[in-house]
Amino acid sequence: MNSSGKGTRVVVTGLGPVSPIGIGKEAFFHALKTGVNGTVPLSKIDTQRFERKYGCEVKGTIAEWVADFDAFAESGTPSHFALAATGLALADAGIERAAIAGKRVNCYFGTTYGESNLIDDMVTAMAQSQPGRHASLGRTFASEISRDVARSIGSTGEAVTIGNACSASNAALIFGYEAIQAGDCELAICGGSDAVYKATFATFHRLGSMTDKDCTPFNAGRKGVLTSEGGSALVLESYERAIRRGAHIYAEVLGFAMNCDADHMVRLNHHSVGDCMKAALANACVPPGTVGYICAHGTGTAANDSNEYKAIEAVFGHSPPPVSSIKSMMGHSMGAAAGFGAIACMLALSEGLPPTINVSEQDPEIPIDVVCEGFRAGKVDVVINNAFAFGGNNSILVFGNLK
Amino acid sequence: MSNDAIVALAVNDWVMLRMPGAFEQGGTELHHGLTPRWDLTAGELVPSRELKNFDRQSLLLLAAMSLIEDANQGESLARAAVIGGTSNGSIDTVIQLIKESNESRFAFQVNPAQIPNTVINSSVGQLAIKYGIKGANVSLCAKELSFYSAMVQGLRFARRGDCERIYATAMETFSGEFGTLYADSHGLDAAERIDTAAIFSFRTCSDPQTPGPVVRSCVTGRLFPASGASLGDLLLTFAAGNGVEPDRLGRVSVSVADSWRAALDDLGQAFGEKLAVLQRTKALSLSLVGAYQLADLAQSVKAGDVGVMACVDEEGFYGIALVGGSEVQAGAAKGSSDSGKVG
Repeated sequence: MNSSGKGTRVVVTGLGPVSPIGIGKEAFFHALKTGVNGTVPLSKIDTQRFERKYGCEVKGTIAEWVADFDAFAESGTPSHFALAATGLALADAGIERAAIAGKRVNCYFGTTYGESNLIDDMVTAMAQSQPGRHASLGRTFASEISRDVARSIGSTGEAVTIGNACSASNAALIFGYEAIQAGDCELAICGGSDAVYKATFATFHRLGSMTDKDCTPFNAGRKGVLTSEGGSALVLESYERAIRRGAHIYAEVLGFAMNCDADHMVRLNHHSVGDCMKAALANACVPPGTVGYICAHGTGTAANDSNEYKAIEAVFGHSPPPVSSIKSMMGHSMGAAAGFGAIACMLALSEGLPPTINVSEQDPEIPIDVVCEGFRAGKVDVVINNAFAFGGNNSILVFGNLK
Repeated sequence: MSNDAIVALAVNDWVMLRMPGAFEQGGTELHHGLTPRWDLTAGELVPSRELKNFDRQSLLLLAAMSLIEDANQGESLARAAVIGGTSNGSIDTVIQLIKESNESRFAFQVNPAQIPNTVINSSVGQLAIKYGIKGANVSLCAKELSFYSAMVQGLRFARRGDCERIYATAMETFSGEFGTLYADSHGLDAAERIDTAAIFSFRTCSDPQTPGPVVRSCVTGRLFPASGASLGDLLLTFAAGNGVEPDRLGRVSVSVADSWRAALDDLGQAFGEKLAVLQRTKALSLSLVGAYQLADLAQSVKAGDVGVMACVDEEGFYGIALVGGSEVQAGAAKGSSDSGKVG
């Protein structure tokens, strides 16, 4: 049950979550295990002219978590999240920055809206006809998220921001996996970041797909998305490198798939999602029956959860593995979300399954094993991390315990 | 990119479409350098009732794709992939949405039809829907290196072997507010700010001698001037690593930021007349830079020769690609010449 027959084996050795329910692996895992509800009245955007008021926010001062913050003070909040997540992931992996400076460490970060707070500031400045309004124009490019990470570690490798919306950080992980397999680098830092953003809030609000308070995936009468923010980072490296340096290995990346619905910009196509899951399992050389957990995309909209269920049923029949949505706890952090899902998968592979909170009455039309009673202790060996996005972009990863 | 790769990307067809004004006023296929007779209307690209769901960038990309011959032959593209290079997605649509939110009585009163266009991957998503392209679909942001990143990833997709055709795009709309700010900050005239979409249709191949221009290898990374590494060394090392001796280099296309101008003297000495420096307007065209360079090599590298294209920005972030030339298939090297639509 590994991908050793497919070339270089790629493993996960570092985790860096900067989330509304916890910063750092220990805090994040603790929150997942205890079912923390991160929902709060939003303070980072003015909700006065919105009917909805709730979301999830990263607490505290992010500067505390960013090494040499002054060098990146002009960067956007998403960059700050990515930098903080990278620092945590490297520390968790036991990698000193000095040891990788000048090395080819590829940096891939996903995002939905890029440096959103800087774009917002720019539009405000445009409206006020402020002189020098383009002074920080160069900082508004989405590329700066991954480049800031590359700058912070002195990398000579690739730095690419992947704008694949809500599946972007799974795509980033796939890029890292492929780059290592291709021999282009031995180490990659992959994840995603997005900030609470007025445009995001307005978007889901206007689409009528936003919940009024709690996010309730798979629940009957669920109302929709809870917007959120954060940065997620994972260290990927070749198995040989990890062994050589005596690293703790969380999991092996067994396989993946990406496809496009090519059907509708915002409506999920369960046939296409099912095809993507099947392709990921085939790529991983893993039969469906061995999968022990699915970290669902699980946004909490009626349509998404229903379509995701249909896709799961198409792949696994009437006995699919347990499923949960961590978005019930921490909302939907857009480009960072799949990275958080991947980190949650590491918990599933080592200790047990994170719960879906806020399920008071499971949707009878979704008759699957939703982990809703609380943390389900007991590790599993193979997990799937689902991520879907506007534009029909599906990215799915399969992780497994090392064999 | 590892040097053992034998999979390459053969250029099947390509289009660079510039649209200076309103859609119906027409555009230019850049590689011909002509102002065409434009008989394409937005309504021909998408049904009129759906036009409200598209923004300028998406329409521009669809217009470019309508000129790609192999995409319009009724063949299934279900196994094709799309890799979009972009600096900031449809940033003008994002700006418009923020303005609507700021100015409306309720902040959520924004145009719902344009919401899908606010995500960075919107245009290539619309492209996939229109053409039924169901393979991997990714949008890459790396400023001037975006198209290079698209080629790097295209080679990886090709190596994986689950797609036979890859459409790599680059797209920027300079006519809007963001483009105006960007152009102003670089001293570009309004006449130079032309919305442009580039599409290269690649077919994956395992034979480097495949007819037509072939992207054999591509790499991106960062060069630190303090390390003493020079751009010329990087180019030669890259070529040698791919088994190409300097005398086989038929053309060297470079795009360098001002801080790397000094390197051009060295490159001039090393490559002489083979060196082609991308003009400043194009060098400031963000994700389009690599597309302009590949278009140049696709037209100029002779059979049996090899061309190199390289781009380095102010901070030393670079991209390099090796493009082989061989006997050209009809329609391959000269790009689309769909005279029924344009020109």
